[in-house]
Amino acid sequence: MNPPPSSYEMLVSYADGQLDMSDRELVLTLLDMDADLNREVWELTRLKDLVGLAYEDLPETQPAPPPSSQHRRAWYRRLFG
Amino acid sequence: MNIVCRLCRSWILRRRIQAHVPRMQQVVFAWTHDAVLTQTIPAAAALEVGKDLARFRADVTELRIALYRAVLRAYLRYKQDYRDVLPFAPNERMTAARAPLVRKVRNAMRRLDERQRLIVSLVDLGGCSYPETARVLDLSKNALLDALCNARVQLKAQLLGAADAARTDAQRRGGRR
Repeated sequence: MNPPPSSYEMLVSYADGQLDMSDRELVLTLLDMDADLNREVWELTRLKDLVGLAYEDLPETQPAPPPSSQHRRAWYRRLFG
Repeated sequence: MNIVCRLCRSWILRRRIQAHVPRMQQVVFAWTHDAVLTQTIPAAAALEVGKDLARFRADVTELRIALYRAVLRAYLRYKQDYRDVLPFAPNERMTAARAPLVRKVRNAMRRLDERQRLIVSLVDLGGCSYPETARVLDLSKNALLDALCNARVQLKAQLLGAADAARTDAQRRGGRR
């Protein structure tokens, strides 16, 4: 039998929007009662936003110096071939 | 009529694949920090999945799983040859005000172990649900959640301060008991 999720796992799932309605209601009730949990959810949301922000703008295609061009050509052949 | 339906469905699926490409690029960039691979791996994955559109119906979930599995296969092939993730995307231009924060977050991502980095990228950047991520990476839901929680604790330690992370970790362990 799977162990029940810890409170932190519940909070992570809540912040990721992965809980079903009943679990979400439970977490919302707990959040109303506990300021620490509220803060935890706020921090999880902030972390998600930071990760999103860090990868929002992708670099323009400027080839990084390959370890070996022959190696890289072989890899492209495998990728597209 | 049947042919028209099939053509329409194929067109819709191709549009959906193209709509996924920017997210796939973000995920690949988070995995590799390589500007070239960021372009080529999603393109190759889209090409690969586009060859066999008949197996998808209107189900976006299956399409997304197939795309990210193709991306993962390409990434693993790349890793076989290079064995390491690049430290940072070279020649990248970004505004001076934003650069320190972006670098800090990317370095924190790079310090995660590989499985954690794959999971965080798929969930936070790829927009995958937990069941989708578990299927892409062939993990159980519990293993996924465990790795994701560890990753969040580590990211928090690096980005929001060590004291808070220690408190979270203690709370997490307490919740397990």
